[in-house]
Amino acid sequence: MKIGIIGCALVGFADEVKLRSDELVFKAAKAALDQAGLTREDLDVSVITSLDAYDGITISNGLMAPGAGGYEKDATRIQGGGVGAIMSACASILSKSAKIAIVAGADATMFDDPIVSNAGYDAFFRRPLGMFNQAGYGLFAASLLRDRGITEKDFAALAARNYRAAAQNPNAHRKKSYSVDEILESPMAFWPLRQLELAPVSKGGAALVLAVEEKAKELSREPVWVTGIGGGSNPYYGAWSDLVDLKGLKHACRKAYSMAGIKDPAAEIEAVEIHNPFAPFEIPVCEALGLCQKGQALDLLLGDKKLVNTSGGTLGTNPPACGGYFRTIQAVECLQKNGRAGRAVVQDSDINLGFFGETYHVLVLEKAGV
Amino acid sequence: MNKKVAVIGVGNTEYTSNRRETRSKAELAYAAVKGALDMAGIGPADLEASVFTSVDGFEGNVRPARVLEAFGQGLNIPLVDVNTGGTAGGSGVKEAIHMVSAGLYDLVMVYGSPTFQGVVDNQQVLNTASPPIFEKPFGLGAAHMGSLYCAGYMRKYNFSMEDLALVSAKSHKNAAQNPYAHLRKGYTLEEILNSPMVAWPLHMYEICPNSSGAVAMIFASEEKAKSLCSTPVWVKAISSITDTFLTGYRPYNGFPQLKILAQRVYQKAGITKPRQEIDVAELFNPFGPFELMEYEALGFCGQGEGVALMRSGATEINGDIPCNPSGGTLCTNSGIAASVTRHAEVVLQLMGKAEGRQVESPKTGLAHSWGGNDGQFHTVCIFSLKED
Repeated sequence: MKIGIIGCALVGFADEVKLRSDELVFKAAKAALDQAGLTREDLDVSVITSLDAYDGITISNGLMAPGAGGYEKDATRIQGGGVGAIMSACASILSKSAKIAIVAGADATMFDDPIVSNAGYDAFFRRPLGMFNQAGYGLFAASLLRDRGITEKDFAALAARNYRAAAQNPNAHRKKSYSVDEILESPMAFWPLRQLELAPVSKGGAALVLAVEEKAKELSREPVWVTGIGGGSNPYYGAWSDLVDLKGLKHACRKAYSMAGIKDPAAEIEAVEIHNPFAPFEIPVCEALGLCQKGQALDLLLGDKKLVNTSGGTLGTNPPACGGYFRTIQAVECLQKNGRAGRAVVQDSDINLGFFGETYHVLVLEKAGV
Repeated sequence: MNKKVAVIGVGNTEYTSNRRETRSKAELAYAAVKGALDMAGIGPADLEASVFTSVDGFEGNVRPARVLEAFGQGLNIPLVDVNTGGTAGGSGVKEAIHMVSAGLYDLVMVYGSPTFQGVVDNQQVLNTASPPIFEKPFGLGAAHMGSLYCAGYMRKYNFSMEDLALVSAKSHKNAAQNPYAHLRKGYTLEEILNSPMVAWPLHMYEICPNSSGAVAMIFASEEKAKSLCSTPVWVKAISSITDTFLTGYRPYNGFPQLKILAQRVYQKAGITKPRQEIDVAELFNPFGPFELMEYEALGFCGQGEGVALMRSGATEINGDIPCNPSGGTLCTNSGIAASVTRHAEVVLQLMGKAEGRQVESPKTGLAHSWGGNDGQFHTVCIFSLKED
């Protein structure tokens, strides 16, 4: 499989934006089409990712689809995040239903994150307990402390590393660099996680244009190729061990790697964008992606042995709907900046809604040598 | 289409009123999925991916699929969550077909959720789908959306109340024979015209109920379909179309977007004479008279000839182009399950398994869904017993 990414655009990101979601989607989609040298007429399919609860209206893709070139076109909406929408566009192209697809989304509306996340839990057991996303992140981080010998200082070091990268990234939301001490001094939020170890909610929009191989070669001098993609899920009532092992992520990974022909991920992948809404989540994700042996992730990350979250990661920028697009576009830029041939992996999930029953996606991107 | 795709299993639960429902969402999911897996002769471990279709706002929780475990999450398979309003069923079926046709997965399940189960006030939820500044403050709800189209259609062609109500009587008559229908009272023309006026010109029995029940379908690659199923139903083409978000520009006397979509889908499926080549159709009719406008848009008859086609008996179960032999969405509207059901019903008809409402040996069928803000989206899918 080879599908070209021939246009990318980001609008934002910030604490708030002045544009509405349809205006954001239009701006991003237009910019991505301009970059690809295409117009709305050239599109075969338009895919939105969004979640009604984030947008404050039901069937919110109805508002956004025309802005993403959807008028009188084949269109759909995927709720699991940006890489899920990219998977839908790839399936359209590979099934020969489309030659050119756009994926787009926007995070514009203010919403109450703990309440939306809490409403994603079951009505009888976990919702009344008050479970929500950041409480789950705290539980996950606590198990890393207890079972893996990782320290709170390590958490802070991981966060500081992300902030350093975000400060260098003009597309990032949080652009201020924080030291390990500053992070350790920030208020405790959900033990053992401190406020600066948790991602913000970022507002903005994003779009990508994808094309079948021959079109991509015709339209773009240097397309970045999607060569593998896969999804996975975790059970809601599953055991804690299932959760911290990230079995759903591993499932997604196996599919994406086998499509891309990756046998030794530690050696064959140069750059990675990880969804880390809390700082230490990079550790189990690096292990699940096979970038290092179990127990070696801190060394890999803090030793800068691989290009992980050079965008500043989710701690720097966390649009809940468009996060997968943001990470994909950052990985595309990372490959384009690098003169050599290279391979990047994007990891996406819907854990912005919290742990248990979450879904994962893995995307493999490649650039040929110049 | 790249690779061939077939349906090899359908699972339905019984349907009831959402207010009388005693089964949980988890029980409904388990029952529908088990039914589909049993018909396909496979187990949950054989599934490679699942597609969940619903509209979150009505469900009473965010992303309801995450808390149910009937979709293979215990095996960590991908779970794709599709929500495009009323067409989510058609969009979810499209997603599964694309995944199999692309060669990404060989066995994919689509689940139609009992969207309205547990909803307190769905009109209030639906109202938030309307454009927030101009249209939402008018208080538009589902029945109004339906009545705008029906009133315009009636005026344009000078139809009577009776002309419009007859097609609903046909649906009620068919549903009475369908063990998986919710309203099985078989309301007659007279009863319909005497039922309370809800949103002019629609009477209560011309408007769908709130039902509860679920449906699942199994889509398979060519190799899997042939090894697992003696009567696989092949997918010939599927697509969707999108209208503007603001609804003021629409003519409200038919479905011009559906007409464009039908031409595209017919071309892909190699259909040139829909009236002759399609043997059974399930059309989205949450409001009875929609079916008439859909006949016209789908090319079963000319513009303004929907009533004449229906009065001719051609769209009855024993007619030459039977439409909604199940009774349609008018008699069973379990939210997004109803738009998956349009596809599941066509498949059951082609397999010869449509107990009580079976059309005589159909070979090719059409499934349609309608939804989004006042019908912003349509989907059309063509199924056939013929492989090529």
